[in-house]
Amino acid sequence: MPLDLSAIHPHIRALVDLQSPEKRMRLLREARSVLQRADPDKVRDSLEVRKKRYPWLVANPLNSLRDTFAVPPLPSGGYQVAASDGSNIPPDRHSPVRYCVLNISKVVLAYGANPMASLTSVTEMLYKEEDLSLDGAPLRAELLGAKMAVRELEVLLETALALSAPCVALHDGTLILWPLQNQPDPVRDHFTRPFRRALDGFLAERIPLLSYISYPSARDLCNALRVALCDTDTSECKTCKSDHRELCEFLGELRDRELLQGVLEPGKRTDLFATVSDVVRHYGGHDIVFCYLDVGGEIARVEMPKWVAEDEEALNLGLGVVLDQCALSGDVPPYPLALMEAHEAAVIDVAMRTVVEELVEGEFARHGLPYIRSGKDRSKRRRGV
Amino acid sequence: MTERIGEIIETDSFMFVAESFTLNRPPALGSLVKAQAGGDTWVYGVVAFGETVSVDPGRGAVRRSRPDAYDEAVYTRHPELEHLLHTKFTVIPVGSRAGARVSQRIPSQPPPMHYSVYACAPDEVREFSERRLYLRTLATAELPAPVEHVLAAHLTWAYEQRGGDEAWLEQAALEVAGLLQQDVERLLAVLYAVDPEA
Repeated sequence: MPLDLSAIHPHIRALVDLQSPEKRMRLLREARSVLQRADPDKVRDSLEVRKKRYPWLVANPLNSLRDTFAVPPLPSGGYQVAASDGSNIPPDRHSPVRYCVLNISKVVLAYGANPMASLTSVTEMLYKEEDLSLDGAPLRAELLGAKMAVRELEVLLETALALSAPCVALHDGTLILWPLQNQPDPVRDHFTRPFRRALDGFLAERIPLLSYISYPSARDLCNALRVALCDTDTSECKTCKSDHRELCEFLGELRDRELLQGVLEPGKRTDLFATVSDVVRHYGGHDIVFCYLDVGGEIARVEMPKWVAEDEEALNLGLGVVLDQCALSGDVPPYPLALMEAHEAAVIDVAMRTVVEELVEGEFARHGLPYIRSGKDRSKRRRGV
Repeated sequence: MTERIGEIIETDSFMFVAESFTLNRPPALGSLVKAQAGGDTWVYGVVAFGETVSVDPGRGAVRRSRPDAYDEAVYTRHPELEHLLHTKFTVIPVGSRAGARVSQRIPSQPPPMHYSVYACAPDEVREFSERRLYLRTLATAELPAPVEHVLAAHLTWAYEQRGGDEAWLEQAALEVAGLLQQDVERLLAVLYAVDPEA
């Protein structure tokens, strides 16, 4: 047995003790009380006035911090929803040739008088130097992630353009291209340019675009409460003498979904917040706004371009579709059905990965080209005793 | 030409499986179908099993109904199910046709993968079932369902296709009695099931 469970067992109890449940409950109550009384103007002003950015992401409230809203029921007559997701076979270091396969799903579900489903995908193979590297550097995992995000949004737009209103486009995960945060300008622009064009496309056709993050780990709202509590400056955190220090530090480790558990009810959303993420400033004016939504059994984060947040009809349609799709999933906690099918249509399973590799290997052999994998890889595959 | 009802997705010398073009509606148990085997060659077979399952074996079907939406309404609320489920039917080859020549021997070649399966028109059923050597092939085949049920379903179905041909049914029942004489329980199950009065 490769893993000695008896070695970790005693530590599991210690791990639970470390959470100090009583203390945590007290601080959580205080945090939720801060959410009710914190001044959104103070957060907005602090974000505006400060020259130096906060060392953490802070939710910038468009209106209030504490208000919650019931998502109105969808208009009768049905709707259409487009969704996309991606999967890839990344370049393999142990293979003698470099190539990459992308599989981006195109899912359409239509409800109403003429129910219909289309579950397909677009498969692409990248193997040219210019596709697999950027500025001479190979496209590694995080940039490949950015490339996937861009292609997924482009394919989603292409899919959504064929729909008839009322329709909504659902994107899996975040609309914030995190992997580009610390990239040099040309690298960042290489990806944000097409991403921005796709965002332009949704706006031009007024197709509400929403992205759905299940079990979000973001702390933006908790950080906004820290800003609301703070009377000094974050540069003085280490020497802070404030009475709020313990609560502030707790908020720094709390997730927004934990803060909102019990604050929201199923079918309700928080107010709207803008993200202050740096990379969004390169989206050509498409600010990204988010809210949290209780989908029944889980607090999800829903992101959208600002125009969707400002258009009440688009916002309510979008969130209504998210809730309906969650209800259709039949799971607890739920997950939007269209995104579930988008994942299923995109996924490249182990058998298919092997087929692709064998196809490449076979074609090499047919042309008398050597195809020898690394010794380490071969030893892992053989696993002789 | 009769209706194309499915496409072969598994095939070997003694059995083939086809995916039905209509979800939840495989051809009738015991019905005679034919598979295109290239050119003017056809394989005749008897439907011995039908099922509707998830396309992805790793992703089983789960409950989709609600108190206010069940049965047909489930499919309206879940249009994706048409793509995620499929209906399959298993056919036991019992004969073949090459041009005008009909044989009741097991075909020497299994029908090709992805070829079409057709329903048989009553005239064709009448022609093929005129001789009943194929009942022996069916009775001794390795079936995915109890043999007595498949035989009974076939006799009843063919009897109706032949316009209620009682003389044929009587002869067929006698032949089945001969085939199942070692297993009285099975024989009785067939005879009770095919009795037009039952």
